[in-house]
Amino acid sequence: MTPDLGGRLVRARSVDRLGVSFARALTEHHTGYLRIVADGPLHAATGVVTVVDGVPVTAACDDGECGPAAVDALVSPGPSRVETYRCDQTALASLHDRADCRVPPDAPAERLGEDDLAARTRERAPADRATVDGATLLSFLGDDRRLETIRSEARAEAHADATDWGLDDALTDE
Amino acid sequence: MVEVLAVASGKGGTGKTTTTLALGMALAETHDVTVVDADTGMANLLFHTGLDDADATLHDLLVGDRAATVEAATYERYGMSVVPCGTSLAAFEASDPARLRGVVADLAAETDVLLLDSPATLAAKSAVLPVVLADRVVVTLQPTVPSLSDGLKVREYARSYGTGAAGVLFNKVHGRLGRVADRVEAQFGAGTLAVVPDCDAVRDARDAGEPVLAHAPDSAAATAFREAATTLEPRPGRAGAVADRFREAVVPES
Repeated sequence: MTPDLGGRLVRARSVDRLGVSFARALTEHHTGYLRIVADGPLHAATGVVTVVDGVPVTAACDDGECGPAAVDALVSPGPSRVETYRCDQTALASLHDRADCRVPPDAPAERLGEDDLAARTRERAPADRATVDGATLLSFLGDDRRLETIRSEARAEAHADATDWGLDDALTDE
Repeated sequence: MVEVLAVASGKGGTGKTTTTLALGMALAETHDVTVVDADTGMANLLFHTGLDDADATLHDLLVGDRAATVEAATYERYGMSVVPCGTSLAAFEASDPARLRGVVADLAAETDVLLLDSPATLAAKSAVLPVVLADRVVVTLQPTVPSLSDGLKVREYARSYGTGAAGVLFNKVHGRLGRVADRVEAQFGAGTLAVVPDCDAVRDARDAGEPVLAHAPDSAAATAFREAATTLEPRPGRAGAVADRFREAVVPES
């Protein structure tokens, strides 16, 4: 079970498009959580997605799934029952402190294929919530020529700076 | 004296100060630790340690005829000795970064582990000196291309000055690193000290003016930082030589 997060119920809806609920949370700068009962044709799932300033932070299912896997289970294009609760951020700490529950800010919108909502969510998300973009990072880390250029330029700068700053004696020949 | 470690990243916003204090507190359980805010141009360690109103700071030690004693600029906080730096632009402009060597030498003689919170740049002598003075550098990274690129520069600067790599520490991480951590280790030639998740506890600690290990010791971030400290394994047996090296290397600011 997900932890009891408390808070005040501000609305309960059955929706055909879950994106409406996330869009409204973003527009209202909502802080709290959405309790979602997904009842799609292929699967059913119950759990929560927490939001701060309208931006999703964590996701957890009652069956123990959490993080991106919970988004996949809870957020589907079909009909869902959504209860929106308002609460202080401190009440969400039990989930926010769990690294395995964290989700990219735009994960629900991306899952729903709502590109505009995803873009607006990324725009709202704090700069330090940049999501690990594994493909981009692995591409960078696999580009040996680019990395060697960075290294050789840094070595050249270090040696030039050492001369300028009187640190030549501290340099090594390595 | 055991070892001087610089916490550096080459760019801002990676959480160097949070990392420095967290490693310091964790290491202080087994070592005598001194933490220095060596980011003389943009100091903020004082805000993380409740020392906003500190009378004497590192700035006072970096002017000719020191305006304070090392003891007066050293504060006992959270089980560590803390040397904060002031935020006055005038004091920064009046300070001579070359004098950091002497200060480090004095502090090194009195402690086991010296942690230097380094500036978020490599474009000034004052910013490079912590990396030059340290035995090893902890490279703090966020999983973004700009951060990895700047971290790689720090690693290369350190290598140029014969400073070893204690490891990389991934901070403010959302999601899973997967194979990224392995590739970073290979390219940096350094192991991973920890993967620290982004965590409200860190922001709350900053707002409260406390290190995260004091404010939220059971948080995921605090746990990861403690693991990093365990992996660090400060290396004993360098007493004397460290202080001598700093003293011999004192040079005037150009």
